[in-house]
Amino acid sequence: MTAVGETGLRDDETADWALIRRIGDGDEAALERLYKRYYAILCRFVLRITRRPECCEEVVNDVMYIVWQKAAATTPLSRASTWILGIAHKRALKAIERHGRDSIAVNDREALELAATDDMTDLVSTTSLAEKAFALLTPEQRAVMELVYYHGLPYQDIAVALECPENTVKTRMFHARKRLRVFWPELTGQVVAAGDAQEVDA
Amino acid sequence: MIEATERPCDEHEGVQLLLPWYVIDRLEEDERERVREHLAGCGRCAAAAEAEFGLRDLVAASQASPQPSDLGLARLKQRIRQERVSAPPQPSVSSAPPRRWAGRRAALAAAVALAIAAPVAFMAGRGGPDGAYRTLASPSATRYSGQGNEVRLVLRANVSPERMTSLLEPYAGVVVDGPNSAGAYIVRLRSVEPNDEALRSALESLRRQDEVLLAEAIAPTGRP
Repeated sequence: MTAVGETGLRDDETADWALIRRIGDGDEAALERLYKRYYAILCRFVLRITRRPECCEEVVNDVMYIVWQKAAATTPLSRASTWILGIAHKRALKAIERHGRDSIAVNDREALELAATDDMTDLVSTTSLAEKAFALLTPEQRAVMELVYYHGLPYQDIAVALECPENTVKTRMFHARKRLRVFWPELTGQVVAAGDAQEVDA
Repeated sequence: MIEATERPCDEHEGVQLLLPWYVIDRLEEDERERVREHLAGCGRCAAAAEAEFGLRDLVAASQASPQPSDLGLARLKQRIRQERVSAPPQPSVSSAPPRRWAGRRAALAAAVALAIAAPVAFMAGRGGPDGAYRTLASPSATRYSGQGNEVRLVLRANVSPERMTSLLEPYAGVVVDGPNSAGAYIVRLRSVEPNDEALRSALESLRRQDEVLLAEAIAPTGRP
């Protein structure tokens, strides 16, 4: 099996905490390095959660500002990326609140309509099938899925980042896969719907 | 749904919950062995695990990652400098201004700093009721101390603290107040005599610097 983690963050956790310590001392150059190192990762994570490109830069700016403010008082009990992604998760959810839950992104609405029709012909013909599928998930489910399949985080680390019990992480992932089952054959080439086996309490 | 004969249910459930971390190889050894043993004897869960690999690849590949933005970094630095000037360093986020306001203030400051030249030229001929430049002179950040050698200064967003220091060094300049929401500082040019000619010369010199977007005198009456 192959572990994911294409983010390239895993190998430099010690260096990241060293940067954060320098940031705590007021070193702007260290903040700039951390910003450049995490910008793409955070943008992707925020975009995955919010599905609103216009939110990304504002949220990343907020995240790095909080890192700047908290760096001096933060103890490196977890991986640096876990700590930073946890901040990003909170800020992304707040951004969704600010923009209002009634203002569903266009892609989300399309996906919901397509899912309601169960018209797989239309689904297969769309080029952004994956994005439409992810629109069916809640922001919290999208966050967990991204942390698992893009960042390759163990569920224990995700629980730390999202400040929730480990079982909540597992069940969020389980229900996310269940919601995706309408897309499952096209997404994975498999006919079996994951999560179709039995119910698991959230 | 899964066949009743394939239960016990708890084992299927437990394995299903662990499958995502099984396919990315992020389980403890005992958990990994438990899943492996179960999949060897359960076709349904094994098929679900295969599908899980497809989902993993899809998530990892389905979204492009943008590159760092110079403007975004400049806005972040400006936000930090505003905090540094307006308050001593605080380790706790609780002492910061409300996040929403802080974000808007930073965005406003950046926007004003980037497009300041034209509005300033326009406003110079039409100050507020007391003649002050209201856009750049919020009450909290432009208190005039009565010194005749104080100036209002707006720099580009990406100017480092070191560069700001070097810009002010020839005049023994010190920041007295600011920046306000528009990014304006009140700076005392200590080596400049508080008379019109000396101050005008210093301002002209400052305005020739690329990083200076605005440099103007602050008159005791509140008029530039």
